[in-house]
Amino acid sequence: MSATAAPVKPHESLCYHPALSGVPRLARHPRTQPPPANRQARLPSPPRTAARPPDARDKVTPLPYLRLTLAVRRKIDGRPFRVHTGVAVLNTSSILTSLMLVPCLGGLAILALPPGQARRARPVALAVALLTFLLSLLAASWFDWTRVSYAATDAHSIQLAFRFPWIPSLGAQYFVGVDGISLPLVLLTTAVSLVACWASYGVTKSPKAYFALLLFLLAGMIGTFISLDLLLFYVFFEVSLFPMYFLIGIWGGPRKEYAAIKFFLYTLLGSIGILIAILGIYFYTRGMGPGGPNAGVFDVIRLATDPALHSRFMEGGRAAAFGNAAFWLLFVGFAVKIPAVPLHTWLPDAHVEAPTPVSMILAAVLLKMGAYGLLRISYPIFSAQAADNWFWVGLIGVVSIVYGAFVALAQRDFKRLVAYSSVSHMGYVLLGLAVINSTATAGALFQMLAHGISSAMMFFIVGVLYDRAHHRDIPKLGGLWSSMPTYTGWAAVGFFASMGLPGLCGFVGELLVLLGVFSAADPHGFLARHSFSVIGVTGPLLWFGALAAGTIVITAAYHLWTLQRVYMGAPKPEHQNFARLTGSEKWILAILGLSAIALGVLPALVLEPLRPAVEGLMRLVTG
Amino acid sequence: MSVLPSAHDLFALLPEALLALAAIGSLLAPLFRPRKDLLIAGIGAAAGVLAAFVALFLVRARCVDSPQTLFGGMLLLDPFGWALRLLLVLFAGILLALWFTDSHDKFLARGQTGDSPEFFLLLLLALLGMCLMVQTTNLLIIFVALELASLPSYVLAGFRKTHRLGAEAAMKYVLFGAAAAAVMVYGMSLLYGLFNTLDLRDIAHAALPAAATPGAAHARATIAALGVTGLLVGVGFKIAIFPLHFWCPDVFEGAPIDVATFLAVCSKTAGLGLLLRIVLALSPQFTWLPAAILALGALTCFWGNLAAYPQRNIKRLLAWSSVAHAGYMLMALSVLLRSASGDLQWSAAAETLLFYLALYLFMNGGAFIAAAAIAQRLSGPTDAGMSIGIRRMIPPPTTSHPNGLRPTGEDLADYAGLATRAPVLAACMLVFLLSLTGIPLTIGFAAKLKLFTLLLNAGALTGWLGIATLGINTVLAAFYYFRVIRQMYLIPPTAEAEQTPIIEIAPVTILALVLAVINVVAFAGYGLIDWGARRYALLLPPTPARALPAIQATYSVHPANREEIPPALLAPASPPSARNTRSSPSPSPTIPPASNPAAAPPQNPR
Repeated sequence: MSATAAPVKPHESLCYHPALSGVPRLARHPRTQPPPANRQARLPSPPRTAARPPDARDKVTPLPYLRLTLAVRRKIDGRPFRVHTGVAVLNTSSILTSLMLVPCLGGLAILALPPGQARRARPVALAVALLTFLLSLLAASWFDWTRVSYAATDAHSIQLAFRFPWIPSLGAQYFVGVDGISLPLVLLTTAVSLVACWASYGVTKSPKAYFALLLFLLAGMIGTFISLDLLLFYVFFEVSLFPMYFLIGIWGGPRKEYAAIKFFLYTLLGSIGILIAILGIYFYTRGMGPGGPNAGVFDVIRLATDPALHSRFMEGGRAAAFGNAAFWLLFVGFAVKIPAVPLHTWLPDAHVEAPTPVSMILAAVLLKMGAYGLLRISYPIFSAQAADNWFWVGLIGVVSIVYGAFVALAQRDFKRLVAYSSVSHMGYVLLGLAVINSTATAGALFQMLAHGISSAMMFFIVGVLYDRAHHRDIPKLGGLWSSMPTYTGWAAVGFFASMGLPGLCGFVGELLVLLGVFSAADPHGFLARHSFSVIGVTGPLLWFGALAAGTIVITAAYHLWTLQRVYMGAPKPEHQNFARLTGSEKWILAILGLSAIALGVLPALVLEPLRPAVEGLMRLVTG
Repeated sequence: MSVLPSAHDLFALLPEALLALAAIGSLLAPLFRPRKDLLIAGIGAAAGVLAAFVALFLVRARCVDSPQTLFGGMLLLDPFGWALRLLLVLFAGILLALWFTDSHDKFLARGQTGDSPEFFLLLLLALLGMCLMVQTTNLLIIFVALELASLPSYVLAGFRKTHRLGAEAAMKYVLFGAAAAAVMVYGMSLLYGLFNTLDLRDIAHAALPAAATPGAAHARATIAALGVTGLLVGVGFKIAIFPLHFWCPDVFEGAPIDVATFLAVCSKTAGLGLLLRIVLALSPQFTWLPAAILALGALTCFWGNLAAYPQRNIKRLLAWSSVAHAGYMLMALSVLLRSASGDLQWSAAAETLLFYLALYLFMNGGAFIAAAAIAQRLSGPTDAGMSIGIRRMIPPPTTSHPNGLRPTGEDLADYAGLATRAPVLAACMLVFLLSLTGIPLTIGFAAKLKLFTLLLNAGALTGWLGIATLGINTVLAAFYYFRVIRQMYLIPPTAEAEQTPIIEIAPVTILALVLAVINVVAFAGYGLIDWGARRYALLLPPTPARALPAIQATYSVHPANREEIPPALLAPASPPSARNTRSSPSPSPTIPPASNPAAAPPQNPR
C-alpha cells in the first residue's frame, strides 16, 4: 500500500516542459526557499537554525507572493530579526480558498449592481473570471508538478493545502488542497468558464442574475475539485447544481423547465447515494476521527492512505460488505454526472435546452465532476472493490461508448448529436478507469481534459450557427463553407478534434485508453493476477478494447457525415446573408482550436505533469 | 405525606401558569377598552409568551440540573421536556410576531376583519396544552393535555368565520379529532384495566395479569396491544401519521395561515415529544412498537410526498410537506438506542428528534410565514368595502383570474414570476424550500444529516430500509418543492400580474427574511445545535428501578456502531435518594405512583 511508497521517479523525465515543471519555482526563489537537497543538508549543521523550532522556521518562510506584510527589522541580541505582521492575502495556503471565493464575491458584487447598471454585468463577470483564471495559473506556478500523489511523505503530496475545523463535533474539516489529478481540472474549469463568460454576449434577459449564477457555478465547480473532505466535497458537489438548474431553467430553450428539473432530479438522486456512502464511511471509521471519541473520518486523503483505515473496507466482514455497497452507491452517483448510459437521459435534454455558454460549461466541466469523484473518492478508498468490479465498470463504459456513438449517428438536431457524442467520449473515461493501470488512467485523465476543450468548442460551433440560422436541424443546413469560410475552418478543427484525428486532442486520450485496455488484457497484467481465470480476464477485456476501438469508425462516421451535411454541398440561398464571425467568436474559436491542436501535437505538455499523479494513484489503488 | 404539592414544587410550572394567566388576561382585558380589544389582547398574549419564555429560564435549574417528578409522577420535569417547552414557546412568539406583522393594518379597519381577541385565548390555551403534553407519561395527563391542545385548535381552524373552507376545516378537524380522542380513551381504558396503573412507565415493567389458559394469556396480550394502538391513534392524529393524516391538508387550507403554521409546527412538536415518551416507556413491554413506528414513518413520508404532487394551493402543498417531515421524524423515533445513567436516560432518538425539531421549526415555520407574506402582498392593496389583510377575507369573483377569483396569493398560479415581482420574498421562499428539500448549506441539510447518521447508527436491515426510504423521499420531495421554485423563477408573470406591482417592504417581509437568514446561517452552528440536542436528550427514568442495562438497543447494533453517552453530560444529575423520598407520595388505591421503587418491581421482560 501507499505507506511503502517507492522513491520518486527520476527527476529529468518529469521536467519535460520547463514552464510546467517544479524546478524553476525553486530556482526563482533561492532566498526564501532553498532547494530541498540543500535544505535537508543544512538543517542540522548551523546552530542557529537548529536552535529554532522547526515549525517556526516553516512559518517564517512561506512563499511571499502578494503578501500584504509589514516587515519590521528589529535587532534581537545584536542579530537582525525580521518580524512579519499583517495579513497574508495570498499565500500557498490561501490561494485555493481565494480561487473559490473570488467568483463567489464577484457574483455577489454583480447582484449588488444598481438596476441601471445591468449592462455592466458582463464586463464585471469577465474581469472576475479572468482574475480567477490568473489565480489558477498562479496556483499552478506554485505547484510542484514533480511530487507523486498519495506518497507517504510530504503530507501525501497534497499541495497548497489548507485545513480548518469546520464542524468540529462531526470532525468535518474545511480541507482544501490539490494534487496532479485535481489541479489540471481546476485549470480547465477556470479557463472554460472564462471562455464561456466571454461567449455570453447574447444574454439580454436579466444579465445580472445570469452572470452572477455563472460565477457561483464557477465557485461551486472549483470547490468540488479542491475539497478533500468528504462532507465539504458533497456540499460543493450539490451546491453547484443550483446555478446550473437556474441557468438552464431561465435562459434555456422552449422545454427549459423540463430539462432543468430532469437534470436536477437525476443528479439529486445520485448525490443522495453519495451522501449515504459518505456517512457510511464515516460510521465505519468511528473512533478514528479528529472530532471526538465517536467521530469518524471525512478526510479523503487519510481514508485512502492510512493503512488502518484503508484496510477496513478490504478485509471482509461487515465493513467490506458495506464497502461494496458504498462503491456502487458512489458509482451510481458519479455515473449520473458522467453520464454513463443507463443514467444519461438528462444530458441531451439539458444540452439542447441550455444556452450555448452553459452547454460549454456543462459538457466541459460538470461532466468531469463525476469522473473526478471516481478518481478521487471511489478508487482510492474502495480500491479492492474497484478491482473486483472492473468488469461492470468497464462494461458500462463500453456500452456508453457504443450506444452514444450509434445514437449520435441517428440525430437530426445538431446539439443533441454533440450531446450524445459526449456520452460516447466520456465512456472512454469510464473504460480507462475500469482497467486499473497507469496507461489507461492517464488516458482517462487526458481524455477528460481533451473532451473539456473539444466539447466546449463543439457546443460553441453549434451556438454560432444557431445564432444565425435559428434552428439546429442538420438536414436543413448545408453549404455553409462558401458563406462562412473562416467559421467552417475552425468548425473542421473542432470536428476533427472531437473525432479523434491524430494530431488533435481527441486522439491521445482514446489511444492511451485503448493501449491500457489491451495491455491489461495481457495475462501478466495486474488483473490477471487478481482474478479468477485467464479466460475470465482477457476475454472481456479484449472484447471491450475491440468494441471501443471499433466504435471509432462510427464516431468518424457521424462526425464526417455531419460535417458534410452542414458545411459542404451546394450553397443555400437562405444561408448567404449570414453575418460574418464577430471578433469575439473568432477569438473564442481560435483559442479553443489552438489548444486542441496544442494538446494533440504536444500531448506531453499535459501527460508529463500528470504522470506523477497517475503513478501515485496507481501505486495506491493496486496496492 | 401530602399529595398536595408545595409552592416550591409548583414554581417549576411557572411558565405554564404565566401562559394560563395571559390567556385569561387576553380574554378579560379587552372588556375594559372595547375599541382597542385586538391590540390589547395581542399585546397581552405577547407579554404572556415573553414572560413564559423568561420563566422557562428561571425554572431551568429545576428541570435540567435536578430533574424530578411532580404530582406523584404525573409530570416529569426533565431536560427533554424543558427543551421542547422552550421550542414551543419560542415558536409561539414567532407566530405572534407574524400575527402583528401580518395584520398590522387591521387595527385600522376594526370590525371588518372578523378578527377577535379570542384568537389569543385559544392560541395560548392550546400552547399550554402542548407544553403539558411533552412532560408526562401519565395517561390521565396525556388525555387532558391533548384535549387542552386540541379543543382550541378546532376553533382556531375555523377562525376565518365567513369563509366556507374555514367552516369545513373546523368541522372536519373537530369530528375526526373527537373520534380519535374517543379511540384513545378507549385504548387507555383497556391499558388501565389490564395493568391497573395509569403511568406508562409502570405499564412498561409490569407483567400482564396471570391467565389461566394460554388462550386467555394471548387474548390479554392482544388487548394490551389494542390499548397501545388506541393510544397511538390519539397521538398519531395530532401528528398526522399516515392513516390519520387526511385532515391535515383540508384543515391547513381552510385555516388562517398563522393557525396552519401553529398546527404544522407546534402541534407536531408536542405530539412527537409525547410519542417519544410513549415509545421509550412502552417499548420494553411492547417490543413491536419501534418497528411499527418505523413502518408508519416510512408510509407517512411516502404518502405525504406523493400526495403533494397534484396540489395547486401552497398551504395544501406545505401541509403534505409537513406530513412527510413528520414521517421522517417518526423514523427517528424508531431507533431508540439508549443508555441510562443515574436518574436520567439518554436516547439517540430523543437527541435526533430535538435536533430535527429545532431546525424544523425554522424551515417549515419559515415556509408558512413566507407563504403568509406572499399571500398578504399578492392579495393586493385594500379594496374599499373589502376586508384587509389576507386571512379573514372572501375573495370576490372576477373574470380575469384563471380561477375566476381575484388572486388570494395562495394558489401556485399566483406565484408565477414572483422572482421578478417580489425578489426578496421569492428569495426567502426559495431558501425555505431548499431547506425543506435538504440541500447543503441550509439547516434542512443538517437535519437530514442527523437523521441519516441516526439510521446508520441503528445499522441492521431496518436502519438501511429507513435510509433507503429517506433517500428516495428526498428526491420525491425535491420534485414538488422545485415546482414552486419553477413557478417563481422560471415562469414569467402573467401580463395582468405584471400590472399590479407588489410593495415588498412590509414588516412581514422582514420577519420572513430574518427566518431565511437563520436557515442559512444556522448551518454554521451545526456543532452547537448538536451539542445542545445531546445535552437535552435526557429523559426521566423510564423505569423506577433502573432496570435498563447500560445500552439497550432496539435493533441489534454492531459493537463498532454503539453510541456511548459521554459521562460528562450526565454529571449534573443530583443525588437521587434525597429527591425521591421527598417527591414520591404515598401509594393511593387507584393510582400507583410512578416513581416509587417499591410499587413496581424490576420485571423487565427482556
